[in-house]
Amino acid sequence: MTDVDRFYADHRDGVFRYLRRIVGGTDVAVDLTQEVFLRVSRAGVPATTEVGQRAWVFKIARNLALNYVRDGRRRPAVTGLPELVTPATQELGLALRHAIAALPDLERDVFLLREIAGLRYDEIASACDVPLETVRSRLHQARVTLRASLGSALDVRAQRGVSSSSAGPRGARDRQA
Amino acid sequence: MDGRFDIIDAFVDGEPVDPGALKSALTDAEGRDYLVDAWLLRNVVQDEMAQESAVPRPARRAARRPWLIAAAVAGVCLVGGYVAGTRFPTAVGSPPVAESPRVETAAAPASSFPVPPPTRVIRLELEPTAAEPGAGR
Repeated sequence: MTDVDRFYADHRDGVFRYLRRIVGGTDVAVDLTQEVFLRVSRAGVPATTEVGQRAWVFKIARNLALNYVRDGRRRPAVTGLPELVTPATQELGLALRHAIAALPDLERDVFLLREIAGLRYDEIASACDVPLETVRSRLHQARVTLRASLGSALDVRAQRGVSSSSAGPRGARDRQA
Repeated sequence: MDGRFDIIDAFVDGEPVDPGALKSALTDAEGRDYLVDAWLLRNVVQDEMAQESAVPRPARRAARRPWLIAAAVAGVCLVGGYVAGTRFPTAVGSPPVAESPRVETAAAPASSFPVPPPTRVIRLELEPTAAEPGAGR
């Protein structure tokens, strides 16, 4: 297995999920994911730390996604959920998608790179070409906005309880590992 | 809620934090609410992610292993044959019952059928000659 193959195996799902959130459609996300790793194979995986490599590939993905959205003047589409989820969960999931789609671009990207891709703050800063403090402030603002948008739906979720193992600190990174 | 709670975000995200500053932020009821909200929000996002499928695998991967397809087809044939054999033993699985051969006697051909008359008749007359061994004895 070459470096590129291993790199693809390690990052394809995270890149796909991130892109799918940005562009809204599975088919487009698949195409853009292929484009990301086509560029990776052309350029070769940089000889740097794992942190640097993750930031690098998500920077490529973010740029492609932003170009796609800007070129078509598209906003992220809000797609339906799989039928297997319960109605209450479906309603909350749809509300979450709407709320994420309504975020300003940088806040949305910072939030998705953190929650979907599991990047660390310094990786997000590198991927988005912004200072670390900007990552902190935008991420915080995104959460505040989402909390306000979801409102009572999140309270209902709180009444149902959450699993500490799935939503605790570093939950996203642990799950990816 | 404002930037005072950045440190709570950092804590939730597993980033390095100053324990004193975190403790200070959590003394505020609003800060504690924010911690719970951030935690709930992550839970919702993680549930959403769990519903999403991973990137679809390219179909050409199947073509890389033709032996796998051949083995699958052979297996299906074997199982199908076995099932058919158990369900329809006489029709498929066992040899047909031998029936007594049916004998039909064909009518004897006509005793005579038109034979053309000979056009030439060659008669051979055999006479002993001297050259023949034993001749004249």
